[in-house]
Amino acid sequence: MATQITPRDWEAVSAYLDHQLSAKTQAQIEARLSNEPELRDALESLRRTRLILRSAPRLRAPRNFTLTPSMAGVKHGSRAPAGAYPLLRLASMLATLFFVLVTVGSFVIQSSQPAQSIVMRSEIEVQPAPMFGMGGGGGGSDAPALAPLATQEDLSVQMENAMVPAEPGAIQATPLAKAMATTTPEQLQAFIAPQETTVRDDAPPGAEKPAASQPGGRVIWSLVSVLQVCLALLALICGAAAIYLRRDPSR
Amino acid sequence: MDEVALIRMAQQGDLDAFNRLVLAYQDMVFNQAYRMISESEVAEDAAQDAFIIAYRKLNTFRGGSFKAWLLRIVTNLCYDELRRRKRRPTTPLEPIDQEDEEIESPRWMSDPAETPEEKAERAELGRAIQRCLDELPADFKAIVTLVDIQGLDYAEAADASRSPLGTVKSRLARARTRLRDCLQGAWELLPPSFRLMEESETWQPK
Repeated sequence: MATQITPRDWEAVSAYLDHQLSAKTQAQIEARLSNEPELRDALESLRRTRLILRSAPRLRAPRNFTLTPSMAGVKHGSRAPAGAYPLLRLASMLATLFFVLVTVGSFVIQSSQPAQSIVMRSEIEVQPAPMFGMGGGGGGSDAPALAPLATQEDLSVQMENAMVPAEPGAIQATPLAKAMATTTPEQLQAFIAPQETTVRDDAPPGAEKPAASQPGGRVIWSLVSVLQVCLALLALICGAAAIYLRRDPSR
Repeated sequence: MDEVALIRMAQQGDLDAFNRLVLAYQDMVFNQAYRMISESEVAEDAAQDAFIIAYRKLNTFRGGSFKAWLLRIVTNLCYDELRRRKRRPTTPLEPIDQEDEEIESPRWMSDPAETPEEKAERAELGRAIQRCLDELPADFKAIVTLVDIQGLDYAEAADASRSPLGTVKSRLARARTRLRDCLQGAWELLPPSFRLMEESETWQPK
């Protein structure tokens, strides 16, 4: 009885011809080829077909298909330098990354500023205010309260007064001497930087003044803003240039 | 310079490097276009367009078989042309001789040792194969051309046709089955050495 060759058989025989069967399937096909002459005829007919196709004469290209600069989309005389696109792409990516880092960093720093100013203010309040009088002489009393607007000039005046020799026989400490005897280094530092105490005294209780209100802080934040703008512009310009170089007019 | 280096240079914008690749592959690309479209001038346009698109999209090539990647581009262009023809049937551009046969103009690669009779037989073989290929649906024609004429393996053919491996196997088997009867007459056109080779490869039980 003639064996009917099914489409699956044709497919298996075709794949067998090209050694594209698994070992198991190949063994099955070979077993059938031994017993089914129709399958062997199918295999041979496909083999001849494949041989004829493989013998098809090759065509020579009728001309060279090399590209001219205009075909390639390269503008005459202004060929993009090799490697421009990857460099622009890298520059755009880095600028974007740094922009994000600077923005996030500035946000984090700003978020932590109120806590720092509260701690600083509480430290100042704990220290007893250094006390300096306005003139020489006097004595026997505790050092007077620190004048809020004491300046370096006042301090030098006080120092000069402190150097005035005491009346003979009168052994008494001037206010400056007394103050210096009791002033700690932290108090002296606070005196030298009157802005902090000014802020402390003038601000209502509970008010928070971020460090950015200080001239130094304002400068820093201005620089950060400028840096952000520069990075954003750099990212945009490099990205646009990279896209322009990569534009594909074909489908 | 090897192909990988040429491709890298071409991806960085070196047109000369790309043109060296064109020279290496233009016969293959033209063959694929001609076998699918069956008209020399239209195949020429398709081959040229394929290289233009390949240059402009070179940065999308991520390694693997560059040959399969090029063949994919030209095969897609040929599909577009065949679809266009279905919508608007055109008159063949090749002239017709007195027996209503097209006078084909493509140049076959010739062997200098060939006699004129052998050259004529080879040209007739080419025409016979093309006539049989033209009876196949476009997707069968593409697969059998890629595997049996261009010499790609199944994986490369799957890549070039953007089809799964199983689809390649199935279409190839069906294309060969349909060509089997059409090409029976072409068997006598094969050089004797080819026929002897086939007979030596006849399946033998183990």
